[in-house]
Amino acid sequence: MSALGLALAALLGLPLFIVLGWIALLAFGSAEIDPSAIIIELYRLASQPVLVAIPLFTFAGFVMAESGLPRRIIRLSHAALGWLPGGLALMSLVAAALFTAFTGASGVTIIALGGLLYPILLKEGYPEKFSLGLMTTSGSLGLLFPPSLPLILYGLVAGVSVDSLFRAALLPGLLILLILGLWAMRQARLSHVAKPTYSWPELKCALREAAWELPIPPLVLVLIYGGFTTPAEAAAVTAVAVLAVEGLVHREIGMKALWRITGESMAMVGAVLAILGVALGFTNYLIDAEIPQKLLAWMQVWIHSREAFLLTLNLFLLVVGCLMDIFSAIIVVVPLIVPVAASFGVDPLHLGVIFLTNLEIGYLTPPVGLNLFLASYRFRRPMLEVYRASVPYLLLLLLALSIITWWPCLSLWAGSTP
Amino acid sequence: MRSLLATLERVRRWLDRAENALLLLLLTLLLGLSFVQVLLRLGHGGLPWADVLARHLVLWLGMAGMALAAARNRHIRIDVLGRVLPERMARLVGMGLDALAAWICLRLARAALAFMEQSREFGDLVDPVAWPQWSWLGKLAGEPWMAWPLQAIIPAAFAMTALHFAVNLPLRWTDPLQAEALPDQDETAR
Repeated sequence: MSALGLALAALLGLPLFIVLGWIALLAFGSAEIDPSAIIIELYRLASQPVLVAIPLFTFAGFVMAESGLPRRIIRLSHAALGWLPGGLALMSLVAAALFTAFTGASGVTIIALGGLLYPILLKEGYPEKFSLGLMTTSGSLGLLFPPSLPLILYGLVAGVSVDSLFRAALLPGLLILLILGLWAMRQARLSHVAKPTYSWPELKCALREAAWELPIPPLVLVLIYGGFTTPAEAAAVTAVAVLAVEGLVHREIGMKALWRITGESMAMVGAVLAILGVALGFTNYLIDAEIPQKLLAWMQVWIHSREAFLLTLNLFLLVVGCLMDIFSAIIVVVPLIVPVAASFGVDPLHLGVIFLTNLEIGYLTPPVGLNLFLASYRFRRPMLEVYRASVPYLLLLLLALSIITWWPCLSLWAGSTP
Repeated sequence: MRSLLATLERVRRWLDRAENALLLLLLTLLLGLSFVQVLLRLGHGGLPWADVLARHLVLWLGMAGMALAAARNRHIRIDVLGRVLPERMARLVGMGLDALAAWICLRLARAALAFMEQSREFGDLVDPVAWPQWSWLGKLAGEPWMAWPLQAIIPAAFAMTALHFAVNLPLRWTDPLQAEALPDQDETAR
């Protein structure tokens, strides 16, 4: 009875951390454990060094979005890639991927970059439907690139090293970019988009304008991949660098903006950490009650091979992606499937890449795909039109997902989980 | 009735501002501390207690952020059904859910208070090894730090979150509190 009420309340929109807290209270109550045990688990938020990266990267991303950086990225990549066939569409993909990786897939890409790119795409003669779909997809494109927040969170929840997860996700991320890039070039040729002329002075000017920001992404990548700093330390460097460039060099972020950005970004961090904190108690209960083992036993009746498991996993995760946002999905679903996947011989790193690719697709699937809402809101187009425009991209992403799923080497080239 | 709503609206704004200020302070501390730590680590130094403090700052940021997210209605929901309800109905349901959320938060706050009390009774310490007994800061802090003051944010934040849900409940009737967390597009698209 209470389970039914709980499910109904959750679907009606009871905040997820409350739902999980309620479940934990009920579960601990029925096991006659003091509810303070939930808080013992929540206090573990203060024992995870990787978590330090979350507020710092989120803050840096919000500062970037608020500053003139999106405009400068666009100008620069336009000047640098504009001469290619489909160059503008390609550079939209690359710029969006980079931006999403840093802003943690919070949907801010569509708002900040999309609003600038969409009119340019239309002006250069790209078809409206193509451009709308492209912008809608681009909102979650950089999910697999470091230092994206979902990657860090997955590493934390699944208990795999965030560094090796960053390495595992790199090629799959590039594959998605490549597939979408080829599609964009083909569409550009078909619709006879005007090829802009190449202008050296414009490139020089754009380079000078972005000179301070340009070194930040390579710096972060070198710090993380080179093993010089932990992700948390790289986050501190990024946040300080971004703040210095946008606040002191470009003078686009003043005290007033800083106040607002802090509130907005930390409310988002609070929403994610509240779920994570309460879910730690919930997960503890799941493990005590041997739920993953029961799930595994149940699945072994139906599923006998690794391939069948992967197929089922993908279908299941696509449904999860339709219903849940990426942060909740990682926190709630990952602890359940990691042990099951391991028993079917799926490497946790590979599982992570599959998981996040599915959730990336989830951003585009009705009814709660965040990108669809944001695009409909930002470009003032009816939802149905946005759905239709993103169908080809959905299919291309599904293609990428199949390759990623059935070709583990792509994810495990840099070594599997030790 | 109207003046009551206006008062509640003022309370909401005031709490929002106070939490925003706290978050700004915590974030500045975390940013400064982590950055100094990176610099010191590059010189093969580093403050032994900085990591412990940074992790607790994250806990504080997360908890205070949870309260602010409740104030601004930014908590993550799976509202598949909530979206399709007619507007009046959706408001009523929203008020019911707020009441439920406030009640759960209060129970969690009580659990957190019990947790903190136990920690105080047993005299739990924060990573005692990591605290420098020799440094001026260690002396200032009275040697190894007690854990409970650092944990105090948990009951406080759950109580504040409960209060936010309670304050937002009647306000929902006049102002449906934007369900989507959308950044203001005119501000970001310059």
